[in-house]
Amino acid sequence: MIFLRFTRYFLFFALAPITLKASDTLFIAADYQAGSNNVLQVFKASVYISNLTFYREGKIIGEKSTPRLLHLVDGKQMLHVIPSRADAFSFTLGIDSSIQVKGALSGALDPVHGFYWTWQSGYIHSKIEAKLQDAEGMEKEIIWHIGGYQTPYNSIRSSLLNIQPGNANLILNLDALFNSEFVSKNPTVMSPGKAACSISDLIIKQFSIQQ
Amino acid sequence: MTKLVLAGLLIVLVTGTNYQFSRPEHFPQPVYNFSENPLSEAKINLGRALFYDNILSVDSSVSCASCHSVYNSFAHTDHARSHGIQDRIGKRNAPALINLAWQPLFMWDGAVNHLDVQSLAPLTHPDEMGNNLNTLLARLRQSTLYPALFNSAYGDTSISSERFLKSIAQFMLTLVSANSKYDRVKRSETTFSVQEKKGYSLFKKHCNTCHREPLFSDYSFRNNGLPLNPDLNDSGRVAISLNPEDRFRFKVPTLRNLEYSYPYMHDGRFTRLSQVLKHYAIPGGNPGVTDAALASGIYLSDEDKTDLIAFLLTLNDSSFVFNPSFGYPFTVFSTVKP
Ligand code: HEC
Ligand code: HEC
Repeated sequence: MIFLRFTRYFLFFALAPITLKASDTLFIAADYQAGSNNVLQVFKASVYISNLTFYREGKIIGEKSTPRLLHLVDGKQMLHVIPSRADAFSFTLGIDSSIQVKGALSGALDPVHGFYWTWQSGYIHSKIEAKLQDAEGMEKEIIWHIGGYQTPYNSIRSSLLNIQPGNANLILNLDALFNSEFVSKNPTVMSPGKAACSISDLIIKQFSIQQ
Repeated sequence: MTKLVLAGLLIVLVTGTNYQFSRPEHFPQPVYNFSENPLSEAKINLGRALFYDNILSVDSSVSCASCHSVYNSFAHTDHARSHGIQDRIGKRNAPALINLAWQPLFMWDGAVNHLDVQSLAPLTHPDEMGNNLNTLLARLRQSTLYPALFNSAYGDTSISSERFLKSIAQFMLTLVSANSKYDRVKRSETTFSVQEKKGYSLFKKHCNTCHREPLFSDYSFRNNGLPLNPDLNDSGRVAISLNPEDRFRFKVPTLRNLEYSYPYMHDGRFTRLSQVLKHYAIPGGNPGVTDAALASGIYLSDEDKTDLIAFLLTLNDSSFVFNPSFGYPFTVFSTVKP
């Protein structure tokens, strides 16, 4: 394998060591190395995040349920201000099923964003499109449009993560995601179902906190 | 596209004139949540203009009404299966659009979960209108007609997908059919003939489990025993629910306005009611049928068939198909296109 470029694309910037207690911020970003691993190019890595909830010692101290659509290839973005002395937070990957049946919506949920399936009602919660290279150097594209809210194939997932005082980055580790064996078996998934649920399980596991 | 219209007809309506949706007395409560999309005359008129405007399709050749014609109770009779842009034929028959406020899921397989988002499907389907939402919204914003219509409906000229979708839904919600002879009998305004009465008894015995009155559907998904058409290989509801039990199940369609809405079934395979009854009237049951309501088979004598058809014809509502507020809204002075 020949690597023309070896660039580490940390899509978040180096953090300045400031600790402004009252306004610690939660950011979101994707992490991947283009060219170094099996990832040649990431075209799209977009996710719906909703139901942000902050906790202190198990008690809810802040909530923001409004869904956000985040295009992670655009770089690091702010998610929310962290309430002071929060020690954990949780979020949902996707849109609650109670919202999915509400009809025409606006803002982040406007179908103009292209994250609403038109042939079958429901939101795509993750669009991941990339060009990868396998061990033999063969190029292949993966296209994942992942969603589905109806049982038994509800693909909406949540995660609970601990945070320390200070700014925090919620990182989606795409390298790890692309290294999963599942990728080679399911390069194209664009409808709800079993595969979409397994991919959702993989995606939610690749979110972690870096501080 | 310059389409000169009798704009006065549409625009004069004042913003906010509420439209009272009235539930026919013998109907249940509608399932549509009107509080999230309160009807008004101006919004309904906007929706009607959109429904009839071929600006919606990518090459401006097809409107919703091309496949859903008022004279066919908003079904499509020229073609067994839908006919979209560039003569592309889809895989299903366009259903009649009637009493949609009572319907929980849409499409033969229930793929669409809310009337508001229904329009997105044909709009973007390559065999139907082949368009995309952003392109369409840009076109509407540039048109000579729509900014004014959105203004009278919503109080400003901003054209968003939510307003677009909800307006078309508003027009479709007004398509209430409740003035057939059957309805007038229910309101004690008239009586069935002897033949119709016999047909009604047969209907209640054999058909009402699925085609439940007064809407003539329970809106469930069922297999009524139609043999699979191998060219289309349409397995119905299972494609959406992914539940193997739903293989070959389709939405139970309403039986209102059958005189106008032929051909019948999801693929439009039958053109006459006699063919439909021939399909159902299999003593001992149709081999493919698993549904309990049909499994033991239906016996209908020739006389029974005539009686049953006489009853089905009492479900035709001519005041619906000739309702002037459902028809083509534009009065074209000129058909000049740039
Ligand atoms: C090319 C023909 C075509 C066009 C154009 C078209 N439709 Fe349809 N429509 C169909 C077909 C076919 C179905 C059934 C599809 C299915 O079940 O998969 C359908 C289904 C529907 C339904 C569901 C009805 C039910 O009982 O489940 C509604 C509502 C509807 N269309 C409204 C519209 C609106 C609004 C437009 C314009 C934005 C439109 N259609 C444009 C062919 C068309
Ligand atoms: C087990 C439920 C069930 C029963 C009982 C039943 N039907 Fe149906 N009917 C359906 C389903 C489901 C469809 C749609 C099938 C398809 O297109 O694949 C349908 C379609 C029809 C249609 C076509 C309507 C249209 O607009 O395309 C007619 C007409 C009809 N049925 C009449 C009857 C009559 C008359 C009886 C009684 C003799 C009857 N049905 C009994 C389930 C049922």
